[in-house]
Amino acid sequence: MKFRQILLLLILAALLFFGFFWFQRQESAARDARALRQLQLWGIALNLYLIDNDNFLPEVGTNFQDSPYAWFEVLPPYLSQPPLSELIRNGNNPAPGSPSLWSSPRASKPRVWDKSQVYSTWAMNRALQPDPTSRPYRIQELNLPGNVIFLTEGSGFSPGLLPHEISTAPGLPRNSKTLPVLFCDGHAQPVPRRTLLASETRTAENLQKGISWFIE
Amino acid sequence: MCAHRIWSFFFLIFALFTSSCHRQSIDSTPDVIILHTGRIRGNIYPLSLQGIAPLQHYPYLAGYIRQVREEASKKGTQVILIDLGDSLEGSFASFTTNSSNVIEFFNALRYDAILLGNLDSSIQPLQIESLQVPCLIPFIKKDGSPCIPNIPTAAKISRPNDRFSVYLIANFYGDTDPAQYPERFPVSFAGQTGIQPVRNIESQIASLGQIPADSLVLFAWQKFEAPNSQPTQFLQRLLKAGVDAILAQRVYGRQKLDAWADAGPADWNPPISQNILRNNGGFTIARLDLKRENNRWRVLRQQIIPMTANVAPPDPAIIARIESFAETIRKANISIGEASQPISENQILNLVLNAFTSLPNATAAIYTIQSVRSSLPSGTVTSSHLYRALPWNSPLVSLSLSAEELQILQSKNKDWTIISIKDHSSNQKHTVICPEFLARIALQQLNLEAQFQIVSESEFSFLANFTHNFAANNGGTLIAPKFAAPDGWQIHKPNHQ
Repeated sequence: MKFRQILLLLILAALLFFGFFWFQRQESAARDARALRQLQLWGIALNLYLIDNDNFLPEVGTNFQDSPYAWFEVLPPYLSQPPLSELIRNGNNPAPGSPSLWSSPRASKPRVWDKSQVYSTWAMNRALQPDPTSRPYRIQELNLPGNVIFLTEGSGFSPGLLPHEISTAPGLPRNSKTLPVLFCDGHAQPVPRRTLLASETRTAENLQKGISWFIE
Repeated sequence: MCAHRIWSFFFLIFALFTSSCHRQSIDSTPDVIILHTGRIRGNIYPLSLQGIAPLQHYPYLAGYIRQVREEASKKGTQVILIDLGDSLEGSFASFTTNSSNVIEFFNALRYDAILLGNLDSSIQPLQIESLQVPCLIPFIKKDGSPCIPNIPTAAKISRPNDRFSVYLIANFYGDTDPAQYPERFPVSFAGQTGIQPVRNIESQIASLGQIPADSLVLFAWQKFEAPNSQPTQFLQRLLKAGVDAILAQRVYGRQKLDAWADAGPADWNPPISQNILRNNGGFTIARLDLKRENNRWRVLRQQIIPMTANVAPPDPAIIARIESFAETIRKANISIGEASQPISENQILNLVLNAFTSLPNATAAIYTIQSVRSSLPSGTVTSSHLYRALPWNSPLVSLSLSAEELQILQSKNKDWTIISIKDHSSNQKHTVICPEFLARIALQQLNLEAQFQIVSESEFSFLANFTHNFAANNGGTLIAPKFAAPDGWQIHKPNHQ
């Protein structure tokens, strides 16, 4: 009798153990899917912005505070959301893990967070406006817009990013193998971290392969 | 005893798990799915020409339509595909191929019907004949006869083997009186003058003959401005006439950015399905799923769907068919000149007024900044760049007006730019050059019976030619920021400078 009880308890423990990991994996997959859906919303805003603005891409912006024509200012109104500057002005700075456009659903709430910090998981590909003082590219200046990265997870504290800065924002899973990426034609897809880093090399070959930081 | 408790615990967990998975069994299979596009504005380019038009949504649009049809055929659902207009013209591709690119798209996707919009007004009967799709138009002549022979304002659009008969009623601007906003209503179409929007919905429906009881009657509202409150009387009129659902293209101003998130008046009766009336170039499709229940149509789903790779895979068959136009478009995309810096929309307005007043005997010109649709890039300016800025293929006309009459027009139309190159005090009449639609509004506002003369059949062709010559006379350079102005140049309304 005692042996059977121990056996049942062991089975129960094993079930709970594997159930826990299965649940975690499911939850992580659901978070990844939600992150992609959020990027697709940004993609809709981007397309509508292009229609209204003679196909000019929005600016990358030098910082979150002082860039009125940057993506985080001009795109949210297309989704009935206030621009980032308005949130900051009203003291509603986005934080990691908060339910908003600014925090990737993959980001969890850090234990300690300074509420005065301005945070956005998403950051725009800096190669789309290499010189902040010059005008941004027009979409027709990109050879294959569907292959050029527009937005992905960045450092959390800068509106633009370069390949080596991907997914370093607080709250993001450190070891995820794929990252959600929005491309300049408005579609979003998961891309292996390795591919994102490998495509740092500026070659037309990378663009033809389907992922590029650059416009060639 | 303890083992029993443990098994009971497992059983309880299992029961809870399975009960949470139970779904209420409501039949959510639609009987009819209506998909409607609109305002494609000719944006159907071969993918090899992405340098001219980089954002092409039609491969995904075709992929999505194919997907919906495949799923629907498994469930016995009828799919109706309609274009609500303003799609045939408006791009350099449709200009150079006489809209064959869009016609090919409609034919290949077996649309059930397409409407002609006011922005399709240069379409020629020969092009309409090549459409293998029923075509409707919301305009009639003043005597009530069809605006274009054999193109009805209402028609049965379902096929003989379809489960439900579907009828489509073409409408332009609801019950809005054209006198309220004359500038928004076209007065000529495909070379026919004196046209007006059809507004007698009851007689449109009567023209369809006996409509079976379980049919679906759709009202296609091309320009829909969502009012703050329900237009109860008009909706009652539609219901009484037998309309089951409204398909609309909702007008949004540039300041209304959240068009996507704004669901609009979803609770209207009859139900309304809205697409976004912007130059979306095929970026959006609206979907309305209906189910026939208790002798009426119930809405199961209403949605606007963006056409990106996330929604559907691209359709390789349509890509291959459209690629056949690449050579024609490439050949037509000639270099016009070089611009040392980007040329703004106001500078283009200046260029247009220069061009108009360069015509023999011309002493005045009228144009609007709203007609300039984009700036020109620096570097080599090609004809496709110019077309993007000035996508108008309608006639250019001359009319005779006094300085006093020009002043009246300016006071009535604050957004018009009217210039003259002759002394205002002169009693002689001005020869005014302007696009045909502005001439018609001008004559209407001045209550003049006078006629105008066509000076060029295509505004764009004339302007492309002028710009080309302008550049050639300046060593190949389009001078920015200011184009040379004729002597005596006077601007009534310099706000746009």
